[in-house]
Amino acid sequence: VITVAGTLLAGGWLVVALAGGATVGTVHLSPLAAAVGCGTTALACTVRPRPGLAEVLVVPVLVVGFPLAAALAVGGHTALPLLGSVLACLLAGAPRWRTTGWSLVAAEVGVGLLAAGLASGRGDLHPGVLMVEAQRGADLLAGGAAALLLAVALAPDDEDTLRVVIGPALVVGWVIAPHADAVAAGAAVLTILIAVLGAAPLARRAPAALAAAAIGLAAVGPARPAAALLAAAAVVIAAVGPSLAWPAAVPAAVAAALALSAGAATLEPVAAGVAVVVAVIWLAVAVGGGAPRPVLGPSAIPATAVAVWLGLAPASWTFAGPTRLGPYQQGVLRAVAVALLVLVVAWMTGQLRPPTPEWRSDGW
Amino acid sequence: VEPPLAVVPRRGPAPHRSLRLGAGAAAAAVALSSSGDAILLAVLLGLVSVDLAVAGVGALVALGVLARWGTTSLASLAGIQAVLGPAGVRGDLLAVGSSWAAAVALLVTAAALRGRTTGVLLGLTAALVVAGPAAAGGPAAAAVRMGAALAGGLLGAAVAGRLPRLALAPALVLAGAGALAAVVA
Repeated sequence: VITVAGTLLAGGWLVVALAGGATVGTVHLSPLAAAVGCGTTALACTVRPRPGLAEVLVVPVLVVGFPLAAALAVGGHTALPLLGSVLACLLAGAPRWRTTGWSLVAAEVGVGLLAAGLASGRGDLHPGVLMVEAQRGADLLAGGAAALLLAVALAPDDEDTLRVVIGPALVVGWVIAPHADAVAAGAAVLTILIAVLGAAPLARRAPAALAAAAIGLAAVGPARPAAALLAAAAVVIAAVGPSLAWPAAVPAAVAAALALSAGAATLEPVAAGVAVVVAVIWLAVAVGGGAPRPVLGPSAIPATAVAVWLGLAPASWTFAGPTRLGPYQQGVLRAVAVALLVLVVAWMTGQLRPPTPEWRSDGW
Repeated sequence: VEPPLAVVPRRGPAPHRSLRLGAGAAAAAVALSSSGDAILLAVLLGLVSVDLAVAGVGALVALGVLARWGTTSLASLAGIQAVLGPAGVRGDLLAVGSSWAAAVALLVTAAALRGRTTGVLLGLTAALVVAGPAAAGGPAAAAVRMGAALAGGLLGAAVAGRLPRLALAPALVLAGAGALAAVVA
């Protein structure tokens, strides 16, 4: 039921995003906010309910309320529901404090910093409010986002409720990045820190590192569209796993390279570039060796669909902004078409049958 | 009944065979048609060889192309070379050297791998980097493009497996040096 409802809701958010946004009463949702709603719905669908009434209730609340809270926060409206969503995730993970360990501690610190930052910013993430009245609030919110990403990176493999806080961390980080101090450099340090967290599982660290790099990119003005794509890649990789969803990060990396190379080599672009390189290398390491091979279940369908869309047609993500990915999209579509054609021909001609045993040259 | 001393492959069918075949076809299509992106081509080369180091060399070569020409679009790279001349000939010494360093890094990578198919693909990519003008640029450009692709592919196939796998390390260094030279140029 959750999968079907989540798929329908994600589709609804997507329709709103492609239709150019929507206005309900006094609340206007931009296409980007609706796209964030779609992504967070897809992420929330992958949370596995555990036995117990609280957990059974948490998942439906996350699938419905979490995306709405994220969309409102991105759209410049109140971010208090988003804080409530993070708190709900934290409370859901609290009974397993023995296994969650430092992840729970980092999430608690993150919630505290977010609450303090929102108190300074009168409850919303609107840049105007932060720029004029609450610079300290922006710094607190950036620190909160970083702490939440650490919580994601440190979360055990089977801890789903702490994994989904990557969504709120990205929302807060993406909105706040241009207004807080030294975000790009901080993001680079955080990405490296996540990469060297030896005890944490690879499948968690890869999306957390990508998310940190996305926040670093968001601090560089011309790279914000690339940051949006990288954030989307981090979300789908957190939902589906690096082994299956890694192609979603390729267009984001291309867009980041194009955006960063176009500007001057000052501290912020260089730091953001370092963060992206470290995150991509770490994703490759996770795909190449360490990350477990997940089984693609029905709950991952919405996230997989988003990953396929991002991997194959990133230029159609117009709500993210101009990404200069037209040539990439043309090439990837051609490459996929040729690969499928060759595979079909190979299967039809028997080239892909299991190989026959080889025999020794002495006649046996 | 299985005869004695049969050397049955330990893992049965190669786990990445379909993936490698598809990625190889895709890489050939992207390189030959000059469509897509250099970073995408690097990822495809990494998939063909199932080797992170190969993808790393390809990515560094792509970053070198980006630093020299301001784009990673293969179509733009071919178009620029059709107008200005092959990248391995035209330009100042450092820029030309960066292109040749990238090409040599790709060929060294081909030499460090066993498969001839991978060698051909890496050779094609090397040809694209030093002499890959768009064929639509005229008969001369088409001849340069075809000749370079043929030479690169044959050279890649010829050197495949000639060096130990450790040669991937100098290939990475060379590709990085090429990218750095392109940045400085």
